[in-house]
Amino acid sequence: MSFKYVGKPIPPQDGFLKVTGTATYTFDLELPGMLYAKLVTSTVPHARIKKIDVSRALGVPGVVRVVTGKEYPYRVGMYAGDRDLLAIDKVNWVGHPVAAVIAETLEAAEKAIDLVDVEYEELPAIFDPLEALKPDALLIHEKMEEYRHSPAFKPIPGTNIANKFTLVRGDVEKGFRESDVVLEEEFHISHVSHCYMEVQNVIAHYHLDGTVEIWTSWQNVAPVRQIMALSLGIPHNKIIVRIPYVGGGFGGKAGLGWEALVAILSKAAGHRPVKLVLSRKEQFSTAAVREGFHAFAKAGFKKDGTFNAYSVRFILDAGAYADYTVNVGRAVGYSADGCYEIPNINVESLTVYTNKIPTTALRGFGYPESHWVLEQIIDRAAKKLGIDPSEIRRKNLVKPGHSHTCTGERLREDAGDPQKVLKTLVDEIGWGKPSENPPEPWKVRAKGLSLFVKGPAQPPNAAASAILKFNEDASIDLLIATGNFGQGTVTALMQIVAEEFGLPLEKVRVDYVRDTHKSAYTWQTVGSRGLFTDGIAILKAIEDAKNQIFTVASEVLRCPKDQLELVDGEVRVKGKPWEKIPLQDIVMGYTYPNGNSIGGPVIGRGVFMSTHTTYLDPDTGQGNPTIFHTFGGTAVELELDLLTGEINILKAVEVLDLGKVINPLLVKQQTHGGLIMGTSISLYEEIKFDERGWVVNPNFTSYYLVRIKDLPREVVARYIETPQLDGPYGARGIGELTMIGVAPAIANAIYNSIGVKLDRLPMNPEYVWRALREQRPDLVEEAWKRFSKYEKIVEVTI
Amino acid sequence: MKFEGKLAVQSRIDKVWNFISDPEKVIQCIPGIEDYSVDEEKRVTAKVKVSIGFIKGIFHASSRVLEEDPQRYIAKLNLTGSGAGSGFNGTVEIKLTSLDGSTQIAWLADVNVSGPLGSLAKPMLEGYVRRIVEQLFDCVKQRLA
Amino acid sequence: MSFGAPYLTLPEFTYHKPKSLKEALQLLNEFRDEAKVMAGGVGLIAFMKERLLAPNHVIDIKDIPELKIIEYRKGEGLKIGATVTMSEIEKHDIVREKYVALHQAVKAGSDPIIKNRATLVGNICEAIPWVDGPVPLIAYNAELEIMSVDNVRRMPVSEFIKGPVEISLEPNEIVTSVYLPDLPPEAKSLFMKFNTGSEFALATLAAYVNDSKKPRDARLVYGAVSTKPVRAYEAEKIILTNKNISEAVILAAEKASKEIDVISDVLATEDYRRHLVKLLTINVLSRIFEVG
Repeated sequence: MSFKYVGKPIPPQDGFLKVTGTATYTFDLELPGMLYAKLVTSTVPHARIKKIDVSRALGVPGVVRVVTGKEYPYRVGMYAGDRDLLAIDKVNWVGHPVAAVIAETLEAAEKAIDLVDVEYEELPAIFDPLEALKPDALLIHEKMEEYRHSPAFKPIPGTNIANKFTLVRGDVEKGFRESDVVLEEEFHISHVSHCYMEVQNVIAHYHLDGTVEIWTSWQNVAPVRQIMALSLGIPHNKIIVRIPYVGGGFGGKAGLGWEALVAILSKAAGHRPVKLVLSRKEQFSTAAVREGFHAFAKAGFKKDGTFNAYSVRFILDAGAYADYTVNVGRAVGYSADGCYEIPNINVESLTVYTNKIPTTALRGFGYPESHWVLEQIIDRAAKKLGIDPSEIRRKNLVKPGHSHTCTGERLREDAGDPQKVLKTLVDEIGWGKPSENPPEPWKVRAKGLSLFVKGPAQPPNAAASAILKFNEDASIDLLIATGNFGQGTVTALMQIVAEEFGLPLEKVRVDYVRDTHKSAYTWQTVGSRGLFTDGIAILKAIEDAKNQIFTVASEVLRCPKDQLELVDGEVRVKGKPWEKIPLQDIVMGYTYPNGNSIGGPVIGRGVFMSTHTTYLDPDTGQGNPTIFHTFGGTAVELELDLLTGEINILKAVEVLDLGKVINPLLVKQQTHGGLIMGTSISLYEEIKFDERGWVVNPNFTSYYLVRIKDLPREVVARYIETPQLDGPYGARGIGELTMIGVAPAIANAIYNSIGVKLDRLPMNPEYVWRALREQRPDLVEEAWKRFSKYEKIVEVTI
Repeated sequence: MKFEGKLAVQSRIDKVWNFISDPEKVIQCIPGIEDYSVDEEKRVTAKVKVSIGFIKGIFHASSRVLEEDPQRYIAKLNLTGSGAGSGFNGTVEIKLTSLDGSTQIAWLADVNVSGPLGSLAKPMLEGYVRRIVEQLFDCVKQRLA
Repeated sequence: MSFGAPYLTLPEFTYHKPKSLKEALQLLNEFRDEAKVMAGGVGLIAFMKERLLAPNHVIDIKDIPELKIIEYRKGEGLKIGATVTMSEIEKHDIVREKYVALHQAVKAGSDPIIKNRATLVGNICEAIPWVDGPVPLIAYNAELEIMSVDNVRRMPVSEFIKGPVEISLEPNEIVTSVYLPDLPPEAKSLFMKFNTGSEFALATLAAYVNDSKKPRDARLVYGAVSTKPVRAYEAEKIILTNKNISEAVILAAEKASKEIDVISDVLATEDYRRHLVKLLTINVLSRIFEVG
């Protein structure tokens, strides 16, 4: 079937305004009479607040108010519900907001925060989740039993455990006994920041009539409203959340934000609008970041390579607050099996509080973590068994239509073609074909593979909806809530609408502002779900609108509805293209020559609701958590400098079974973007803490990010289109997936070629250099000889 | 960072102890002190002007007594403070020993500096903190003489 | 007090933009400690944003014509004025042809947007251990011209930088130019930087040799490894006293990695830096002497 828009490389529809610098972000907005807020944050990691003296701060000209936690003791959150608006009685990390200064200018507010005197009585601090788990560990959350948490999670009051997820399938002990090879390995990941361009910033206006207006740089409007409504007790329809263009999110703008706090500040400041803008420093110390983690894994394989038993314990270093990380902990847990069929599996995933910066989701939502462990286990087992890494994968891959995932969900027949993913990956990277020798003999070249699978980590009832409104000229306003922060989803959704109505793309418009009052509802813009869930809702809205149009046309053209079609903006009778009505003559109602009219303005509505997903059993983790699974793989060919520990990716291959390519240009951009972010997190990114819990690299000069020179030299992206029958045109989501495989593929390449295990992220030069010296001193010595031995003897006159 | 030092003063141990254990007296020996207060529990809060290279800033510092043993002439203080976007925290231990007629003051400090100052100039800070402590004890020595 | 200087704004100050050097020096003489001189502002503004500096007066010297000069005179050398930008230096023919180590250091210093603002003199005056600018200058024995209302003096860059954020400059003085001596026609110099994920280096080396066939004068200056750029005098001696230069390169590298002061910090540990010093030395010297 040929399409006019679907499958075409249409440039992103917001590109023009963005590259001309004229797109409006929350950061750009100012409201009349607006005040500025600045947070006073803790300088100690764990302490009781003895006294907060705001008198000196109030003396700064322009300061309107200083608000402390005790004045507004609201508890906020979505999943764990563990956070106070501002610290009350106790601070739990360096960077914890204890007060907020509200002033006429940002300058005054920034001056005044230095003059808020907080007296602390320090408590011992816990920086390692393994310490936090010890029976005698001090409690970071003393009132955990009071928290209003979602039923999907299991906090354990009296401990530092914010969520305990367990999954049991088969008999793992028996599985180990029946295995020929059992490995035990451990892995670690450091905290990372999302590093989006636009820092978190919010404007709130708490009107005198009780209505609260919010402008925020966030991924989606609905959760902002939901958190505010639940936490502050304001009715939903009195909270209006608006999100204009957003400068990046990557999961960091999905959970709990600052909106409830800034709304309260607006109220406290006499109902004037208040704006809070975080600095980049605060992004590294006060906003939530991606958690660190430890994993302890044991895996049993049979001689023939069959993955027989897997037991893994994930310990997430969630920091001081874990509102969203409890769900990341759950997702790490139920994605532990990746894309392999493992009959016996035991998972424990603990989300643990420490006295560090709070944490939240980051692109991949636990899946990069579980795959970092699993995909390396596979290669280590392959080496022990003497089986090729691609072969052991081929043998253990799930079979859609037959296999069950570790949550006991039977994979649907049309879930994708993992074998084809693997084969394409292996072919494109030239697996089995040795790399060329590097020109410098102290370097080695190597290839590594990693597969992955992911679906949205969402509640079972996460819905979406769409409203489609026709204008007089048959142009369309598409009212959707899915966020637009760089993914390209909205362009793809517009293509679908244009395609279905046979209208030029210019006739379809999605406003750049998302608005709880005006946009249709969608649960969230996370988990690579937007195209799938909102796409389905839009297709249903299109069907609804078409039905209204055909009902009128059928009467006008005196022809049954099923004999009508929509072509090039006209309703035509099939086979008789001369019997037609232009759309603009119908969409506001059809008017006969005498003025009699029928129909009326056409408004289509559609919803997405998953009917087969369930909560997971609290003891066994069994159930159906996911609306789709996208399979994919990453392979890299890299060059490792044995002397410096530097890794350069020469070639990266990414294969995704995404069902249907709606827009080849945007999917390519997503793939490249994911590979870049994946490379950055694999090789460079790490938030470092000193012994007092202070972040020591809260800026881009010492928090390393990938630079242009560090990017993969060559990128090959291949897409497999095994349609998911209920997906829009068969499509599945891929936004997060593009970065999951990078880290394990790099580690596997190095392990396969020289046997060096890299257990922690980031694999930065110094870490790799140490690992090489410890594990392969012989190779390093050989490389050193090659580097420092010169054939040519040059003499000089002395 | 940890560092220690010793110095001898020509004064009797109880006289030295009385001086050392009186925050009102010691505080005046802190170089750059601008403003201070002492409460009944000997908790000191002070404003200190600090210049390290071309960086100049006001530090708000406080100290409290962790341990005081007049029999063994041992005192231990906790120090915290912040300024120029940075913070410090540490302990100072002071021990007096009688050396016929004179008194030896031995000190051991363990101070950690966090924030931009700490990462920018850690090695330099060591020298700076050492200099401050030395100046402080020099002053103590003079006052006692 | 909050965690780590989270500011978006600058502390208040009065901005001055003198049109002549005389006027600038008079302003500085008047305000002294209360004032800071701004060339490109890349360092100063960052320090102010961190609240490490909060001058009441900022004296912007960008409008002063005589400080914009970059000129080479045979026999005398190269003069670079205080407001000459890194981009201007990078594009300068003589720098590219003759002062190769400086060219390479400027090139590797940062991205083009910063280089359009940043100045070499400002880079020296920041005295941040990780910056690249001062390293080749010390290898060339460059000197600074420093002026006040009533005095002009010259001082080697190596003495001017005393340590992190510590320089030998009186409150009423302005660094007006940097002078690089003219080099013999056979002279060779190179700069190499090891950095990863940031423009701040983990280790750099600028090497200078008067003549790679007859070395009489050699300087090895390492940046980003210690509190200020450091010279490896013993390693230099090895180069000047060894006939077999292929061997001398290795020995010098071993020596340099042991003799110089090296620190551990948030970017790298001392061990790793010493190792990088060795690698950089072999890399740079083998290129200079064309061995390997």
